[in-house]
Amino acid sequence: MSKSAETLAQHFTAPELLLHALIIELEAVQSYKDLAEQMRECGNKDVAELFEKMSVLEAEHAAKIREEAKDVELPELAPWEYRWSGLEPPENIDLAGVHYLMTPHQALTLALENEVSAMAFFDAVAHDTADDKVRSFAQEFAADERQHVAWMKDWLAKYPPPDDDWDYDPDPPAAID
Amino acid sequence: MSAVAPCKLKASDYKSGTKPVWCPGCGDYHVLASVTKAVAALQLAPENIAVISGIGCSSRLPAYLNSYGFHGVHGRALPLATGLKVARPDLTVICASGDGDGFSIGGNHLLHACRRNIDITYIVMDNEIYGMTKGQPSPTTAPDWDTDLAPGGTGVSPFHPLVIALASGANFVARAFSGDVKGTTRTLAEAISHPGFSFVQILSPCVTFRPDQRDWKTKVHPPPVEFTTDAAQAARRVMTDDGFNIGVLYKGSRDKYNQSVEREVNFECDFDGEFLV
Amino acid sequence: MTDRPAHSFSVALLGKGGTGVVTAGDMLLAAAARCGLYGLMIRAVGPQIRGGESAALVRLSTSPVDCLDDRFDVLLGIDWKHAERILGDISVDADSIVVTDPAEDEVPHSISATGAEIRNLEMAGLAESVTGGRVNMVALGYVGCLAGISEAAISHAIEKNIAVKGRAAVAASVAAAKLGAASATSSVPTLAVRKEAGDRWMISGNHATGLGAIRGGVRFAAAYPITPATEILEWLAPRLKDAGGALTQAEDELASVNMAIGASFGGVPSLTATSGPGLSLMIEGLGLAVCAEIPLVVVNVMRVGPSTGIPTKPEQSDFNAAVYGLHGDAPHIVVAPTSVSDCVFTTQWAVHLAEATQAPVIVLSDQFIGQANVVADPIPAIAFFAKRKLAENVAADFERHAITADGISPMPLPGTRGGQYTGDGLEHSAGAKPSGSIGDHNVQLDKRARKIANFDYGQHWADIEGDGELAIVSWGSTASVVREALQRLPDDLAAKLKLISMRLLLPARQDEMAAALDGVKRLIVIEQNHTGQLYRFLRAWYDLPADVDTLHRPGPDVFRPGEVATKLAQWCRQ
Repeated sequence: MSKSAETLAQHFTAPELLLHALIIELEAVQSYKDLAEQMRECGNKDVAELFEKMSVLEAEHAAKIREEAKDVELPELAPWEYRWSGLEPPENIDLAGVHYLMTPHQALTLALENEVSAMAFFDAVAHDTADDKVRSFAQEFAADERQHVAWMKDWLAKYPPPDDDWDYDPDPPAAID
Repeated sequence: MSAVAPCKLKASDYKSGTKPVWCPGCGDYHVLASVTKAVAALQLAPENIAVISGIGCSSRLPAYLNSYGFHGVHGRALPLATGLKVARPDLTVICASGDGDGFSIGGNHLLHACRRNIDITYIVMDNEIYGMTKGQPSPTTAPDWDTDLAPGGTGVSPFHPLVIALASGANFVARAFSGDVKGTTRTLAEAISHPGFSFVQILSPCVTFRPDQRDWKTKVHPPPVEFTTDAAQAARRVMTDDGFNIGVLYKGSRDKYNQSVEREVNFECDFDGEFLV
Repeated sequence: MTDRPAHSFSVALLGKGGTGVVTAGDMLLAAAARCGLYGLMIRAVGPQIRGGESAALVRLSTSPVDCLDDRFDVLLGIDWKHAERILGDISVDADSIVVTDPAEDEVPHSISATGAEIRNLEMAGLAESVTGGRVNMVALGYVGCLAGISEAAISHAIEKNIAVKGRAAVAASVAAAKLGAASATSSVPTLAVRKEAGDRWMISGNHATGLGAIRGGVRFAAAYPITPATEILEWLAPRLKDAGGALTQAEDELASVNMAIGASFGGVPSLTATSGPGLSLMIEGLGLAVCAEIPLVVVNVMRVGPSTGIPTKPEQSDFNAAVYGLHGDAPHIVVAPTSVSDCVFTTQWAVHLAEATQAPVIVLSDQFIGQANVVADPIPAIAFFAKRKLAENVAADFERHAITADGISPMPLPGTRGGQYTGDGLEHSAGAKPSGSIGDHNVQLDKRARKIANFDYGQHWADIEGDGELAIVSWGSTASVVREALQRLPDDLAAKLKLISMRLLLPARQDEMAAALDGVKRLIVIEQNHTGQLYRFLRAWYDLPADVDTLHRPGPDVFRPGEVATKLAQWCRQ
């Protein structure tokens, strides 16, 4: 939680970086899928569709990384051995920002934050590594994320920011148990 | 080449696919993810895991996992889990509930489960509120938290779960934060692997009744020191705990509860002789 | 109508704490057993834990007995301190012998006023004359002689009981008993003891309950002590372990019922035992077992209620709680043993029923049966085991609560691949998913009701004796009293009577009862509670003859055969 990306990045080998890149995308795929499902259950169709789109995007990115890694023997790490700063993988949505009435603008703002933090992660690795291969991969992945950042900004521009009473629900929560 | 060997179980293999009833943004989603990752890391067969719960939002967890489960009555998850583990020591038994179910109505059972040191893992998803019944104070709610049932706050000092668990004899005491999936996963994997009663309090924000808990992610921090195997030392540390130390506090070596039913039961036993005059 | 049966001899030994009347009573019973007699003993106590007045009420007989007689042939008081507090249980008359120590207080007026023969026996003096001699041994020797029990049997019983105290103690007690016997002259009918007697068992209802549980296949018990059920659990603790099982002491009854449910969910036949206040705490757990379809046996050794009541005395007043106590529509099974010996079969049957129907079964024993020690014929083992319908080869479309013809769904045990499900107190679909739909609720309610209602209970639902057009329905320990009462009636009256001792109280068996009441014109229900609980239930759930009476009264005093015979005779002649 307190280690900087820089300190962590110095120790990546190329296979490790590939593994982390792949895991980041796979976790993002699942995270967006889960959120899309939750939004569907709550009847928030617009945001559900957005999260589904994001999930597809991340899946494409994952497929690309898998292709790049196909001749590489990737290490097997336990889930707690992944080395990223922060509590979550860089591209996972912060649950604290999720709300059943969230608007597309808010969803995309969170997604944009994800892409920015993923980009920063790869930028840091590229900047700090001494290994050419690692740098090359990191720059490539950073560029991919940069592209995603651009797309998010475009999409975001299409939606208005939320009203002040965006989270107003006239009905109280239901106690089901 | 995939990072995961084809025959290995993945975390997603432990999900039942049933859609959770939880509010989007609920910390329990992350707890569910951490549980699946932890058991996947341990490669436990889903059919050999039993997840036992009480009543409350957190207690809905068993249905979302692809293991055996039992959704019991309010506060009684630990006795259910204890009976099951004594009868079936071969199973991995995980007990899950919330701060209301676990510390209020279930409080007495917590004391005795720790005393017994029954070999199960108890996860309490603590959001310092009664979420399911719409926002009443729980034993871990601050005394000045205003609610309909206790306007202005209860004025009652909160319960300290780690202190109680340690004092009652739990063999493994830890705190986790739902937003820290990585750390929670590791703590759960260690808890499940550690013999005896493993107690893990997981701070898990309630998005609906405790929006103030959004800032928990900035408050949590690793403890200044690693876990200890000395109960007295753990007791001293936990008395100055700020409530946001995330990590394992204590790993003990007390013998686990020793009663269990044998796999092959003896139907030939005959006690008639003692009644014969 | 109150003929003193020649085959029966009742003696009450009374004394303050420390005098050892209960030990003497135990030895008297054991000695009688050795002579080939049958018997029954209960303990009556005052309110003190130690030191208070105590009585051993012993009935010996040449045929099996399951209840106390109306009166005592002999009342021996080592002293009469606070005796009035327990004399309510002890009735003497002009034909009785009252033995008193002239060195102690006088016989209470309520006793001497009956006209009983008062005999002096210097128990304290005789005991003191033997080094290490005790008054209760003098008393034992005296009453043993009156009962016609051989000194050899008495000595053997003494030796067996206190061998741990060493040879000197045994010798002193035997000597004291001999002195007591030497002072006795018999003037009550002694029992004609059979020479070729056959084996005898000495057993209490609580121990018999434990035995039935183990025979039925119980291998897990959860235990929280409560008077008068604790002996069941203490008997089971080491023996379950010997049988490969386990007993766990729980922190309260809420824990014990849930532990038993958890163990049963895992596949092990499970049980807990309690009394009325504990049953109240367990009611929620029983409902959980109903909804989640988990086999469970809960033994309730009934005591006087409501609330804390009179913990050391019997009553049959938890019928309503056992039958109606669960919230919601919650079909389950309630059975009740009719005697100490019947505890073995009925508990074993309860285990079988619970496992077969995947439902909770409440066994209503009572304090009289539970804590009475009887000398009875050996109780043979029968092959009546727990048999749960299991799901072993689980198909992809498996449903835990599948609708089947008999209402019982195959149950997968944890560890069975593919059978994973979450047991739930929430209403659910056949596939064990929580459901709030009327369809699922109706379907599951029907299934849970059907599996209990349609189960084949065979002949065990009741013991039916006699074939008259006047029927008596009773249950539990009262049924044994009624049975003996019928034996005391003249033949012409007895021939008119039919006794239905119900063992299965819930579910109601309309067809079986209709067959039993075929030709019956009048019915009387006899039970020990204040409101006639079984009587009301029968009226609600069964077709009964137009003429139905009830004879009920609450504890703590149990019905006696003579008084019931008198009342039945009156009722017959109405």
